[in-house]
Amino acid sequence: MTWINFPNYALLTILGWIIGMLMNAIGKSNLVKQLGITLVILGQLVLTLFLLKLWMILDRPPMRTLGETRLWYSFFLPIIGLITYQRWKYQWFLVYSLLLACLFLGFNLAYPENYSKTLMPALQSPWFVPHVIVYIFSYALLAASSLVAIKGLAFHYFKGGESGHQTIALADNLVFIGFAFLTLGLLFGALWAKEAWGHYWTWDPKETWAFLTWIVYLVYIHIRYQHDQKELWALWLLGLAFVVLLVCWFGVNYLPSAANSVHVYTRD
Amino acid sequence: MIQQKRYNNPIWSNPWRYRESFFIVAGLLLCGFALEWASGGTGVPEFTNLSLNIAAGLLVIFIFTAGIFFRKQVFILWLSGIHAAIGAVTGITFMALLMGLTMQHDGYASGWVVQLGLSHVTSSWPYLLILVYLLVVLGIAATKRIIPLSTKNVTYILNHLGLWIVIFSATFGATKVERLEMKVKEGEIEWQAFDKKNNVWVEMPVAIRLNDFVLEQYAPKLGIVDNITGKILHENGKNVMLVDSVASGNMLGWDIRVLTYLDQSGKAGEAYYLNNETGAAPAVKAEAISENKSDTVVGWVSCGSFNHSYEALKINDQLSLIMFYPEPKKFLSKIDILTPEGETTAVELEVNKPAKVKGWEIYQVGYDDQLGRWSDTSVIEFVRDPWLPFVYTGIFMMIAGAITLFWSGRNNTPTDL
Repeated sequence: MTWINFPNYALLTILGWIIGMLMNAIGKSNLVKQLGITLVILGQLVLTLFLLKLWMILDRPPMRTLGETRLWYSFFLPIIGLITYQRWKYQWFLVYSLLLACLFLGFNLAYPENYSKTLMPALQSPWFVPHVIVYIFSYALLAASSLVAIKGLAFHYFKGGESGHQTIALADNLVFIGFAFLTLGLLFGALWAKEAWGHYWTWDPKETWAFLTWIVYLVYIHIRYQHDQKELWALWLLGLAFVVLLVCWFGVNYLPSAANSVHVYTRD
Repeated sequence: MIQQKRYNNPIWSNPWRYRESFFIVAGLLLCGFALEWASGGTGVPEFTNLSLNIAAGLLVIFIFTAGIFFRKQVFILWLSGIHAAIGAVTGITFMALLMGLTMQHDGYASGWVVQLGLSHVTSSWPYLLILVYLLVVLGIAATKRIIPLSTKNVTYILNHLGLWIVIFSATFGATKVERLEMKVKEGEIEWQAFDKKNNVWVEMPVAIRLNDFVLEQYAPKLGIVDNITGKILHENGKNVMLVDSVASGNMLGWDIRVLTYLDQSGKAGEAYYLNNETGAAPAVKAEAISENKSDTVVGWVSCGSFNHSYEALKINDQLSLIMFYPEPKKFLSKIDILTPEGETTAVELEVNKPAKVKGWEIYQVGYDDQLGRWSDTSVIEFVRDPWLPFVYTGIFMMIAGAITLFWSGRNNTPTDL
């Protein structure tokens, strides 16, 4: 049994996003651009509707499996893209975040996941939803920041020029907000762990990698405060940080050190 | 690139920068690994309470003295700066990375992995040394922002002092954490719990009477198994089907439909009937139709229980339909907590809902797995962590710090760097 109607919802969403994005990027008149944004928002609403429906059908928060967290990721990226676009007018950034969101939806389309209504007792907690939502929102922001870093690095090495302070300033904005949420997610996790398992931190492999992720972004923030001019350092560090984040998000599942982890996403 | 020129001065001459920072960290780690190797990989020995308290006290005194009275001294100035901070954080990252890549269990490793402490990083010498160094660096940096206090530094203090308090209390509190396991049978009273760490039975300050243990389960799931290898062909869960109201689906080309579902059943002859005796297992009468509709197999499937055997439905030479044991949905113990003063408190102990009594937290951890829903034994855990209030103080400071960081963003630049 796969997700009921998921392909229909996903295709509608992707259609709205892509057409809206193109209208916004290519359109000359303001009206066409605004219509494009409206289409993107409509696509977003379709995905929201699907998430709500899934939540109701499953009768539990759809946040347990890797595929489910990918859905939330696809949900948050366009929101971050839209806000960034509205606030700072970074059009390329809206394009990238929408493409990335499409990629993750596409991944779920290509590999339809089974859903299961069962939720182990340890996950039945008021902490479950805030912990996961805060984390995935943070991951989406930090992924966005690494897109900015890749653009900055590409500019530096292939166009032989400075990527400009604007690029790193956008990365900073995303990382600072993303890091705040990352910290909250980590601490919520600690408070929840105390309730569920009797201790707030047990160096479970997922926790170890969450700590590593946290600390690499922490270093980025310190480098940005203390060595304003070393933009190249910072950009490379953001790239590295994202690799660590990816290991934490799903790479942990494949690490031998995590064979006994409580955090490995169950796949049944 | 401009700053590189400054590195031309010889190492260890002022002002110190990243070179010196990384040398110090590398030196600490080397010393740590040497100590660990020399100890034969047994890790840091357990300190006595007294020596631990003295060590914690000395550390705090050193940090305060350095941060308040010697803050202008060149070495202390460097120690509280970015260069030392990045070095210390890199060191701890290195140790965490080792932890993230190696299974943290001495039983799964041997030889040099154990002797270098890689299979028990958190109790190894290099980890301890680098952690203390981090506490010193972070502590002095925080002290400098606390005295004199300024509203500009609030975010900085919340984040740095909060983190310092968490690491300090978690590190020095680690040896004080007590975790004891108690097994209680329905209708009985128990006051002894087992301390796995020290391998001793401990008499608790309260007794527990288990009045009732309740286990609720989800409906069972059906799956397909390979007749020859005995492997479950679940393909990441695609061939697993929960027996609920819409219990039909396609598994490996076979349309599977549930005809009858009995939550608890007993077998009589070839069929199953509703039965609620102890050990009555769920059973399903299922129909499997092959892809080209040429084959139809109908029969019973049951996962069995501790006193009933399981039953699989053979659908062809290669495959059989089987039932998994139902997963627990919720389990709880209805207990009375009895104190020596004669007080009785009734509590429903559940996963994620611990109880608190006399400085102990009581957790529902398990039951008799063999008996499942008929278990008359509940396994509960007593946990005491005297440093927990400090850890929570630090955590809440960091939560406040994260919120202010979110609020002010990049623009909040601390003073006097």
